[in-house]
Amino acid sequence: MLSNFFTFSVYELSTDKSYRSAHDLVTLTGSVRQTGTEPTSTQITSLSELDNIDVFDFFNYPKISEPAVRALSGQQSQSTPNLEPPRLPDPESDWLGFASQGS
Amino acid sequence: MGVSVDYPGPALPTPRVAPVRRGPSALSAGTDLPPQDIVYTLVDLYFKHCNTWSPILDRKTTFSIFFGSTSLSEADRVLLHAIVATTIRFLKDPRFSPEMRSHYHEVSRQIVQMYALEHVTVEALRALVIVCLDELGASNGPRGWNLLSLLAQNARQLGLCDESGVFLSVETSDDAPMTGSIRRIAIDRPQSWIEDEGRRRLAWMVYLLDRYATIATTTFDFMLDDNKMRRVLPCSYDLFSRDIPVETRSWGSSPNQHGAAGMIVNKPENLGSFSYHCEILRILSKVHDFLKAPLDITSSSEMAAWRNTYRSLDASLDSWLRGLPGDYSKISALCHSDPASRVANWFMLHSAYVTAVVRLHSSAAYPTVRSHLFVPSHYAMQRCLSAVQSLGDIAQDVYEASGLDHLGPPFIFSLWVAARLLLVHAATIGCPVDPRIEFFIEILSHVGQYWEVADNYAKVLARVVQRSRQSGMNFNSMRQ
Repeated sequence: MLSNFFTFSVYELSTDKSYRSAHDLVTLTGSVRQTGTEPTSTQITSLSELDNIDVFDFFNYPKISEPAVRALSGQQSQSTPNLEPPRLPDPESDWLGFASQGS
Repeated sequence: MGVSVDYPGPALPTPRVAPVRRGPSALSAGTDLPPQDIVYTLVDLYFKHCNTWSPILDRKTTFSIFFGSTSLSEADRVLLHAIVATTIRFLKDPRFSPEMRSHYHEVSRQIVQMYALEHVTVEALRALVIVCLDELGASNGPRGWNLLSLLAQNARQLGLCDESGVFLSVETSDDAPMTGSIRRIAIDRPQSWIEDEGRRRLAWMVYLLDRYATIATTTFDFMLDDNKMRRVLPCSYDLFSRDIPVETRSWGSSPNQHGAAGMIVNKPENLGSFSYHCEILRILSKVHDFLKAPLDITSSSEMAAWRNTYRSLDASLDSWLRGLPGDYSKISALCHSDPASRVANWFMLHSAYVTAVVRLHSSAAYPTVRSHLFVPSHYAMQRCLSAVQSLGDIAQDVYEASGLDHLGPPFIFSLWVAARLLLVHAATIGCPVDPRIEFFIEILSHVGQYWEVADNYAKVLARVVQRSRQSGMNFNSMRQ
């Protein structure tokens, strides 16, 4: 498995990119105008992007409150998924505090 | 086991709110249903493939209405049309070409929908629930949601979401009101336990369909509010069918967070697989509402409160699982008398548990938006992965027992959730997509021969997996 790691890790990164683009697209189409006179626009999408929404939007939880969205918009690297390298979380510092019960 | 309840017994089942008549009924001709022998087969197939996980009809009563000596009422014929529309997908009769299937399906579907728009009755609602299985089994999309909104509104109008004790009755049907009070005389007092429990099951089935359809959307609110769903749990199918009135399980008006401590009545010995399914959907509802409430992931106080609710929901799921009858033979006896149905219902309950576990834990395992307080949790990830593993094992067992056609859209949804979990896991931690995804795709394709929604899910998954492989291969070829 280790010998395959590099090969695999590349196509997994494309899955990672799909995850992020699905999130961005859903966020974009969820944006609303503040007034009725603001211009509207069309975003051309593809079947593959719709597939990504079908797959990944189910995991777009929890919903984030406005103050948090504003606070995080200043720290772009944390407000969109997986800009930091994907990795396994550390079982020893699980913020849920369930580490000892983990299966 | 049973309790004494005073039912008036079979009396004059007169329609309380007479539908507006507009000339002779199109149903009276009787040429729009398939031949009698096919209809018999279809009703039988309905009980084999649908009434197992959507147990709103009593088999004996239904067969005696359809194939007994008395002639069918219009409402009975509409119910028959609903069964035809939904069950024709299981018919293996060589006399039926795809065009004929499609013709009968379309005619029956439209008759039921038109009838349900014009009649606010328990019978119309029952037929519409069965047609909704057809629609949501084809696609979890806007057409099905429209039917669901009609179901939810009619369930409210008929007062089906409450354990009503007193029913109003007007002295003469000539005086039927055409004002707001029409709602208050919409239905008669139930004539028997089968009828009473049948209405309860109908309300729960609307609740069930609403839960699965809404949870899949991630943005919609439930059509039936949980606070307005004040029915006690349905009893086991066996007790329903044998017309034995029993107590089951009910909660106070304000149950605590765990949902269990607020019980008023608790008779687990009278519960069956449908009861447990409804019960876990109540927890799943709470999970959905919890995850939809906007959260400030940069606030430590909000995150502490969120974590507490999260843990209590996790405890509710565990407690539900522990509350299932441990002995396999015991839960089998609680389900149906048909051996295939017993096994199917047992598997379905476990798949519902997997759906609920993934719904809750994926939020902490794979958060889309993160903060210094909110990062992927190892514990939550392990819960998701082991749930998916167990669903894979279940699906393997069902496949080997040739039981996949006994499980309907709720099981399909569970497979769809599990397969997507494998993709989001790979995306989050940068590991290979678990090859078990191929198995889930294969199973979904297989079930897709009956329920088109499964085939659509399989195709989406296959395309996403294929694309990720292609981009990997392209990169490899670039390296060489």
